[in-house]
Amino acid sequence: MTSLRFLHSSDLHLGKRFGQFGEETRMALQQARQEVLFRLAEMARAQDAAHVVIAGDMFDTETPSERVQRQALAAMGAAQGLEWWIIPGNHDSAAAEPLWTALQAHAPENVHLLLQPEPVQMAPGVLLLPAPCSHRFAGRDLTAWMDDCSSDPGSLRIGLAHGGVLEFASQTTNDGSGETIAPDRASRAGLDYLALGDWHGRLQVNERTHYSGTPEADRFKHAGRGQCLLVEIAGAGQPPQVQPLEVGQFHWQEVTLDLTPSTDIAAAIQDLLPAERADWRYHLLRIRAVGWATPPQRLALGQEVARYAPEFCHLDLDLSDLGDEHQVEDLDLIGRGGALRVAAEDLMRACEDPALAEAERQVAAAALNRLFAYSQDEGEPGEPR
Amino acid sequence: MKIRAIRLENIRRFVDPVEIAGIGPGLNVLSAPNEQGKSTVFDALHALFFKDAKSWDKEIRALVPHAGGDPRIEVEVDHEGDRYRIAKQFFRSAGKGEVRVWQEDRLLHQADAAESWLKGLIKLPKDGGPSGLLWVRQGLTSFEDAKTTEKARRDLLSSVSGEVGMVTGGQRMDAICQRVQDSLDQLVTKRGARKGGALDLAERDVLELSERRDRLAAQMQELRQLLDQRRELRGELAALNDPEERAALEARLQAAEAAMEIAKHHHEQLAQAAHAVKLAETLQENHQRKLQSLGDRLQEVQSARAEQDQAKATVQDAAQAYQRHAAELQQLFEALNPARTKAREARATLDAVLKRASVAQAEGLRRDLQARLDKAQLQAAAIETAQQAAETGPDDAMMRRIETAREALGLAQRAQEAAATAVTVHYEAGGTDAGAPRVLFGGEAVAGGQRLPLPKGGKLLVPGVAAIEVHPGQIGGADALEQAQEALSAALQRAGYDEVDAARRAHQVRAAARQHRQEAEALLAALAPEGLAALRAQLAALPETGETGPEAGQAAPLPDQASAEAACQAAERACDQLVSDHEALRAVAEDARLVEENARARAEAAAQRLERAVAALGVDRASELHAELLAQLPQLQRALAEAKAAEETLRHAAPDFAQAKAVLQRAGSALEAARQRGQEIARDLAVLDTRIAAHASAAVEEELADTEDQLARAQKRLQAVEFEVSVLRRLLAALEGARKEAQDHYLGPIMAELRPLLRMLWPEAQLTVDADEILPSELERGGEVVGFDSLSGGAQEQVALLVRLAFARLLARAGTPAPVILDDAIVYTDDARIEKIFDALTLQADDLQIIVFSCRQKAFRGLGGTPLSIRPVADRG
Repeated sequence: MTSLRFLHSSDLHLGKRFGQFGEETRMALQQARQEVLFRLAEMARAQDAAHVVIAGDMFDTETPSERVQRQALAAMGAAQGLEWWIIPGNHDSAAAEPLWTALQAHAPENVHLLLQPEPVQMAPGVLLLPAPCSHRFAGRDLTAWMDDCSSDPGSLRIGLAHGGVLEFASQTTNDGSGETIAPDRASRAGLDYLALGDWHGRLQVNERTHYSGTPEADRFKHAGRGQCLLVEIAGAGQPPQVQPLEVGQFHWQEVTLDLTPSTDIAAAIQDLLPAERADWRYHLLRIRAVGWATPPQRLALGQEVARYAPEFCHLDLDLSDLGDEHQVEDLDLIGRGGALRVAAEDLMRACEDPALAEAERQVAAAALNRLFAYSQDEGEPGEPR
Repeated sequence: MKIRAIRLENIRRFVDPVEIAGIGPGLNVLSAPNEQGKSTVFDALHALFFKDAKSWDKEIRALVPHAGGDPRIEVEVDHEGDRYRIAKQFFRSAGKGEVRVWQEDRLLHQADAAESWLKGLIKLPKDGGPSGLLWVRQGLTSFEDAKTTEKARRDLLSSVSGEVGMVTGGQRMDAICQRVQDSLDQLVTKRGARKGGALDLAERDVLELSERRDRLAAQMQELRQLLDQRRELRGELAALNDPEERAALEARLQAAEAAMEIAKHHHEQLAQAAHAVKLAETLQENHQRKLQSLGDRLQEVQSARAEQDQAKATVQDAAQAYQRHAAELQQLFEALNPARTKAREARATLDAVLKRASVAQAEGLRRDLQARLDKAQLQAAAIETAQQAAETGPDDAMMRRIETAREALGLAQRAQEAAATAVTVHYEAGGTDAGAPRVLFGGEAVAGGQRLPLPKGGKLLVPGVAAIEVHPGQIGGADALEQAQEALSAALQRAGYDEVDAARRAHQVRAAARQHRQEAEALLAALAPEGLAALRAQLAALPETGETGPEAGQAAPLPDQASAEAACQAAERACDQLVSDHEALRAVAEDARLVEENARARAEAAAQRLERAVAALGVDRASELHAELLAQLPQLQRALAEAKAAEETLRHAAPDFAQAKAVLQRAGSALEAARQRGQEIARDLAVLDTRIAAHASAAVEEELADTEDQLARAQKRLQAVEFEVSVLRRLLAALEGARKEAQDHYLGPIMAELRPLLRMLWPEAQLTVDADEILPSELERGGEVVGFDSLSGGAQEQVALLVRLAFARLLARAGTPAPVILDDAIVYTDDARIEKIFDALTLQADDLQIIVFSCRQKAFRGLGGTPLSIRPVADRG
């Protein structure tokens, strides 16, 4: 009986530039992506897997730079005894002829670029049925042909495709590409395993249908590090054993910080921080503050985040959902009387004035926070300077 | 705080310790002459409260006595119910000052702790103005030295600025406002984003990234289009290179070529058939031409013969006609001569008759002419005579000159007479009687009363009385008279006469002769208009009577003229008729001769034509030959028809050559087009490959994705900066609004405190304070509004003092009373007004400590209060 043990990965998005980040972060993230192939190879060796299937979107675009292409091929070629099976995804569809022509021209022997929907023998008794994306938007289920593809009895049938699953499309596809892979394709086509790509988080559709997620995370949406799947199939018709393995370098996470005016900001921030401080440099952390905060809290929030940010690969604070709570005590810190107090009260009234537009109220709240911050810089009210 | 005692040591003139003790809680007055050290006390207090003990600056150095020493100041104050003693000593050595604070003789603070306590006591503001103390320094009320009036006003109120600051936000407020404004200025100017500022940079980033994004998107789009194009071209090329398609094209070409071969063969057969038709047509045409030619020649021979016969008959008729006309002509010729003779005779008779009549007419004429000639000759002689007479004597011009000279002489004579010496004799009554003695001149009596001219003088004789000689002297005009006389003589001499009258007569004779000549000339012209010679010639031309005699030599008597004319006309008409008839007949005969000659020529020509036609026939058996040719013609016609039928059959059966050619061409060109298109596509693909490679290797899409991310980030940043601008603007508006409001709030209580004080000096007075500057701006007194800067020095110092008192009142009410120290603050105020100031001070001193230093001892004597003096310290204990 033929058995198979392989790694399932997808959505490497090599060449992604991360323009939304600053220069240092960009460089680090790009480098990590480029190196993920080494880590996959290492993982495969460690797990005694002879094959790695990549279910599309190996590259972020249809026109990655030659450097990105060649380094990827070199990384795969360097993995002796490991076979790489790759299909184009929607980001790097087969319509990108220059890309695939160049890859074919330079691909080492252990790299198999599957550009046609036709069965390929992965290993003796193992048939790989690839559904490469011919175009960015195929507009049809590219796996349909697998139903009619026959194979020798007793051989393993592995499907490899990229796109959203029909019934989950609206929820799971990450870019609304509209791909429509039938979720029951594995059973309809008699597949022992259908390896899917496109969804950047790990997702099991059914017993034989899995999304591996990206091996190197690239957004806050999927918390944690990137993974790949170790798949083991004991024989034709046997249920696959699927094990997620962490291979990503950078840990992405968005955490919600629910604030009330009584929250101790420093403590709350401290609680959110990852335990291993030395590991923070591999963390991208977004703190989304929600609820209500007083000007001192806002001031403290900014100060705390600024305090830790240099230790992180990226640490940012999203205040867009944080409301302002202004209290009399805060105004006392600005001034117990006199013009500063009058100005602070004016701004506070504006913050709470329902007759004003939301934007005006926000501006007034921010102005009050600013007044608070500046007044603290200028010392306590009533003290000689 | 209230000051209770002041001690000085080593302060200017006060080398030895002095003190001002017993300072009361209310009004205190230190009144002393100048140079007694009042200002020294004031400066020392200032140094104590506002100078760090370690300082050794100009102000401190100014306190050191001439002899040297370390200035020491000590005060005792009451503060919040306790008595404190504060001592500060400055030392020349840097950083060595001492300050100590005792509470009830217990050392409370020293060094920095003491300084800090002291600062808390007076709340030292940043600009050095006292806050816990209200000062009015000597000279600060003087505006003369102030560089600007505003500065002066500030100085006046410098001691209250701390309190103003507390209410209006003070330094803190100023710093925050400034910081907000600075932040805003870094972002925006009045006209928009500040160049190089964060807003400007964010806007530029967004713009640049948007442009870059658009450019990359366009490149990406182009790449996709290029790829699509290449895909299409490759598809087309694959189709072109498809073997089946290529084989079909080639098979089509082969079939077309075969069809073309068949068409060509048939085309050749048809050409041969056409040639056969052409040959048969030629044979038939030649035969027909031959037949026609022979027929024509036979017909010519027949026609020539007929023409010859007709010509011969015509010659015969013409000869006969000519002979007939010649005979008739001879007859007429013979009758013509007698008729001509008869006509000549009749003409001779008529001529004789006419000559006779002419001679008779010439005789009458001769007589007339002779008579005229005679008369004319007489007139000619008369003319000659008259001409001679007319040339004798003076002519008109000469006569006019004589007459003119004569008139000039007369005028000269009259003029001389008028101017010459004259004598008039007037006889006495009865003197004229006969017998009365008379005056004689030239022997004759001179008439009485008449003027007797004596131009040349003369002698008058009065008989029996005297002889009187008259001498005329020089008389003007004698020359003129003489000249006139000479002119007349010359004129007469030229005319040949001595006297004017003789000349006049001769002139008249000459004029008469001229008249006669003119008359004779007129008569001669009438008689012989063309001259005498013409008249004589005319006469000589007339025939001599004897030569023309009608009857001379005439044998028979002549008939009358009418008969002779009739006979002559008849004879001449008969002769003319005969001549005319002869001429006509001769023309007819000539015509007949010409007709005959023509007929003969035609006959000869017909004979020649026949000869030529016979010669042209050329064969002996022409008619037979013609019949044979006619018989052969149908056979030739049949052969032609057969050839045509054969050709037509071939033509109907022929394949469409043009179509076969077109099909062949199309098949060939389709193959060629496919080949060319293949080449074109290969070329285009090469170009596309290059362009695609250029685009693809540029990682356009990655760039685009990256740019889009960067753009999103830049847009977020821009939003943040824009929000920042809004926030800063809002904050600034809030701060400025609050400050304005605070100022308004603050001014109210001050004005309330000030109002009663002001009215103590000026009833109904109102002081207006500038809300921005918190400084007095105008004073209204008795309906008159005067700008503060325009007030007199006295009024200004009074206002300054009252404002300060009002502040002090306000502070006292707030529970933080401050001493008011006045150092010669009232300098310009007059004695009347100063009383009112004293009233105000006294009123305020109820619950305020006021310390007044003044040199105006007399004036301040009436102030009352606790009198102070500077005394040596006997024992410092």
